[in-house]
Amino acid sequence: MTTEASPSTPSSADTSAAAEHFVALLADLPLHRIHRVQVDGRDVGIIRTADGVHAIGNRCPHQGAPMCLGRVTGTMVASAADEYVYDHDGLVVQCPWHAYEFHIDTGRSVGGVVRGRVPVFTATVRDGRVYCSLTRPTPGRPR
Amino acid sequence: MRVTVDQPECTGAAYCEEVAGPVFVLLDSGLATVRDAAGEPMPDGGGPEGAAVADEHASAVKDAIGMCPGGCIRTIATP
Repeated sequence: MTTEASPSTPSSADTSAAAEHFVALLADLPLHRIHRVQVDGRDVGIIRTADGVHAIGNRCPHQGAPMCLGRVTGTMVASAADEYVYDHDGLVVQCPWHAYEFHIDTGRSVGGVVRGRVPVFTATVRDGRVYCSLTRPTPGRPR
Repeated sequence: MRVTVDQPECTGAAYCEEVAGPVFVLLDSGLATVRDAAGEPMPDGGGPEGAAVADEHASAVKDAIGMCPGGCIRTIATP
């Protein structure tokens, strides 16, 4: 069930994981910032990127750091031999404690250096309104 | 003691499975859950009922709770 709320008042009464919760107006979300909201009593970071809106959980898989206090960035990727270039700008979230980097869309660690993943939830945009449900995409067992 | 896994918070780091394998298992979905009395994975992380922890595994479960980066292992009070 999608709970309708006034445009400026994120809320929901449905507590099932699949329930959609209105969390923000798209226009109120600055690009590449983590907008911390409460969804069914949990801290969730809503992130607007160039390719859409994403929702992440608030725990780093390394030592449980609060990812909503992290920052959205890019990362260095290999190019030519012995050369790295900055890429994926705005598509990576960096842990506030140890600067580990995770892909915003999957929660996976950049380069696979941390096992596990940042929880990723379902975020959708309709009519300029952003909704989040606590359903978890299941891309498979982390390696 | 009974325990359950709050799956929305699970990071899939699998420390629980590593230190208390008879109680926890990481599913192919990348989310952890508890095992039932037959050792089979329970749906929804064990749900509100959770799984009973044998005394011999209680210490390992406490270690898993302390290590879990997601903080998603919940103990359930038993009467």
